[in-house]
Amino acid sequence: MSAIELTTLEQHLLLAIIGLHPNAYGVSIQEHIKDRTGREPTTGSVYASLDRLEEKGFVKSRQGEATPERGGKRKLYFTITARGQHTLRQSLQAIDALSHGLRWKGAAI
Amino acid sequence: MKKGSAGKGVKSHIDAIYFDPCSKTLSTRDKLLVDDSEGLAHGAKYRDPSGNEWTIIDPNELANHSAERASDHPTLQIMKVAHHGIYTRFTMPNDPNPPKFAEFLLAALATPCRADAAIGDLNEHFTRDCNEFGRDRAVRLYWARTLRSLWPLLRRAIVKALKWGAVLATVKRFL
Repeated sequence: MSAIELTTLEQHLLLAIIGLHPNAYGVSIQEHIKDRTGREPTTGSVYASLDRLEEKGFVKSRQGEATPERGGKRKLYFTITARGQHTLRQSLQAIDALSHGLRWKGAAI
Repeated sequence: MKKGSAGKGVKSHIDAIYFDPCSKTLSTRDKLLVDDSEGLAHGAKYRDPSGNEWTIIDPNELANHSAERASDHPTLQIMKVAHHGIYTRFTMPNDPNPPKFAEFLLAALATPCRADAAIGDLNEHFTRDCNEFGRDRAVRLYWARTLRSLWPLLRRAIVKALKWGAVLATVKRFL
């Protein structure tokens, strides 16, 4: 799969999963992204994207513990796979290559 | 119930007043049945038939408590046991009790494992919001989060259905 197919949210999710390892689950991922980008992805978009990433073999999930504040529902922890890391690196390198040496001018006011 | 007066195996009833951080109200709960065999020493722990743990605390500690201070605690707190000046603190898990229909909507759109995790995440947000803003606002935020979550999950479900449809159509063509 081409790295270009990673969306911005998917890049954020993969980076958050690496940053939070081994405690990356829905709420911690949302908070991690919100703290760093100022935008909190919705629960639905997080799980829809993670579902897609898992289908592509970029992440793996495992069930965690259920806690009272979660109403007895189990957490779902995510870890990135080697394939996911490779794809993410390619994707970030593509952004780097595109932005390298840019002079930030020419924007219309 | 008198402190340390009951014999071994004696069950005692105590009335309790507790603070609910969600509704921010003090209310009376059902009488609690405790095993008084060890006496009601401060720090002693009891487990009621429902499995909730009770801890006897120093009355002087309780004297410093107020409803406002209790609101700092994220869990239900027994503020006072009325009988015989025995004071206890009661801690139990909050019942998130978010809107059930919202859960149903999520469960309908995601795979069971994902739906469980997503509902758990929303419950976790709800519990935090409940402690921070009160239950009414927490319910509104819960609905907002749920509704914003529906479209991405619905879109994912549609894409999956279309993929399976395409696979089935291809298989049929060769049959």
